[in-house]
Amino acid sequence: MTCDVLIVGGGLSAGVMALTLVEKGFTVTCLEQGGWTDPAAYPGGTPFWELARRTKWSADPNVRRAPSDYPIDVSESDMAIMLYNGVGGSSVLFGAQWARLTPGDFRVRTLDGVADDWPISWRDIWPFYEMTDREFGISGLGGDPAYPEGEDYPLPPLPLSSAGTRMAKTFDELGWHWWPGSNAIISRNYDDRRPCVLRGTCQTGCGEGAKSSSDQTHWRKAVAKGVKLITGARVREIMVSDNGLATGAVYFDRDGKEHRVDASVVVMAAGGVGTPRILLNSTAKGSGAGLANSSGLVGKRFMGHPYVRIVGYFAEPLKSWHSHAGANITSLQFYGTDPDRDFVRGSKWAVVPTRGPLDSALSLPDDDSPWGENLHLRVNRELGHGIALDILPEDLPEEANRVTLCDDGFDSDGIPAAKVSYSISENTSRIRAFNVARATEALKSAGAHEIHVSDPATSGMVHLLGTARMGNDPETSVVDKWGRTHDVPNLFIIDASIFVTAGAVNPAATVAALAKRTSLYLAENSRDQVTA
Amino acid sequence: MTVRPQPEELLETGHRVTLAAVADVLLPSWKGLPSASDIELSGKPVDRVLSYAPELAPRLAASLSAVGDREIPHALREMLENDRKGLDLLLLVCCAAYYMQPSVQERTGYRGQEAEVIDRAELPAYLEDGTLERTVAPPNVAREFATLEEAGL
Repeated sequence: MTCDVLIVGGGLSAGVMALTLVEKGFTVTCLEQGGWTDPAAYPGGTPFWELARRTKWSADPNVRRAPSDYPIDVSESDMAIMLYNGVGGSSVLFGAQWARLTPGDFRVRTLDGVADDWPISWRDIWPFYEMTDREFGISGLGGDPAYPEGEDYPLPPLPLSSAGTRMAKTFDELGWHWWPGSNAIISRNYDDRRPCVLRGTCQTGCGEGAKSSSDQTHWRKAVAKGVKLITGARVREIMVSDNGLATGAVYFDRDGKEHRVDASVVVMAAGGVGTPRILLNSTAKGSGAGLANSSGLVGKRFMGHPYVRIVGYFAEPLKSWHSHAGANITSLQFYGTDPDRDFVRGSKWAVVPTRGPLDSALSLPDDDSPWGENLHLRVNRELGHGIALDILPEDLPEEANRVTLCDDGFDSDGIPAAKVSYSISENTSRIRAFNVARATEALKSAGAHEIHVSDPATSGMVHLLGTARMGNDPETSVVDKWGRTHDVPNLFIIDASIFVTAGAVNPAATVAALAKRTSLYLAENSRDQVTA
Repeated sequence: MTVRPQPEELLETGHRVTLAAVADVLLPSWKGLPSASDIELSGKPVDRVLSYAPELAPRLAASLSAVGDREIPHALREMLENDRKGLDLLLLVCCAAYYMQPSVQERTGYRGQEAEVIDRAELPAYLEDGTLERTVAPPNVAREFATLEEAGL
């Protein structure tokens, strides 16, 4: 089997590229280890939703253990790893917050003397944010003073919940920045999809099709237009010619049978853990350290957003489980670096819904007997009475935080499992502590009588970034500013691996914009593209 | 061909007896809420949970075996200290079964995640009461942007 472009992974970035390139006349094949998920199978509208989140619809592949999942060794990680393997990738389970990086995020080295600058500026990516906002059908309100001026979102913002309304009033009283959330959830009919029904179960898949996961927004169209999407295809390695060019990939089908796809250009889109796993399991002639890895940085500088959820409890009922699960409102009041603090960079806040009784029942406090009457009291006090703030701190890149191949663990096809080694840094801990203190003040100011902060160990790492960073220097980066690997000129990476820094916003909007930018670059420069 | 066990086969009788006793300690009656035994939690309610997530059954059986015929509160406190995963599993299964029961939902007011049609005509209050107009650029973001603009970056 031969094609112009082979994409490894069928998630958000891959969907953007597949649709863009097939519309430009390229033949595109995609290998995805998972399958299509039938929206009718999502548990949100069933009584089992809360149980489902903790079992077969968990975002943690080590809990979910679906046939499409590969094991991830987190024995040396402070946090579990959250991802989804299937058409649409992790966008199937994401909360759909859709936020842009700020201009300062692209120049952290220049501004703060830490980490690195991106090889592109905010001006380079802004047009692609706007293009992909339209493709995904983003709901939001333009004019946020935290960002440069630009196009408005294609759809109006989703309605605020009672919690969002109350915190907007509080932030207003405190003189803090706030803005209605921008989300990849449609608020009106759009692109043959129906709008959100505020069920709040976005993170176990949207049965309404209102959440803009890329299986809904891109993949169905891409396949209809001729993209060959092979599901149940687990890639073992990228093939390389004697002259160091990528020639395709080897994969196993669901029966364990080995296949090969040849391609002129290979694009990695398997995510911040999956992409380094495959590159490290591939071999370039004369190199034993994995493919595209002359810098030694493939898998290193792993970043995420080790978030904190802080919940304030109020005397009056707020029915706070009822809302879409994206950002009701956001605040960037403590985003970026304040030189008067003992840490650099900052965080984004989002008001999100609380959940049902199982969350309260299972959130065990330090108590001699957290069951019986105490359990009932806890559920009675918390259920529907909470306002939750999700605080995303900016994690800085460190080489010790990394993805490697597991020495003694393998997936069902015998491919080495991924191992994540990750420690929360002192700087990140200080960001979290400062923001928890400010959030406590805000929630108390809003009237909360009790505050609960999530244990960091129980939060999962939901954004997997930086393991094949972008840069101009081949000695200190894996890909150039277009996502092309420095070592292999017909091998590109378009997922969140290429992030130079993490920012403190959910990365999906930036992943989509970068994928669009690389796709159009590939299409416009195909005549000059070196191939095997 | 693999034969899927019937729900009642997922947990043996001895374990059900232990589960009933454990569940009554975890979830006694309280202010109008039924106890676990009031809803016969160790019967159909727990079968409902295990039918949805049969992978929990072996771990549940192991946790119940660990409790054995000891005094329940003592066994639970020991699990809290030494076998948190085992305790978490008991709580997950019992609470999932309990809070899915209609008689419990009637009392808590939580009937699952319900759908609501968005009112397209409603204008957000923040556009009418001036709160959004007062929001200004966050200080650090504004300072960084100004620095970059000045440097032409």
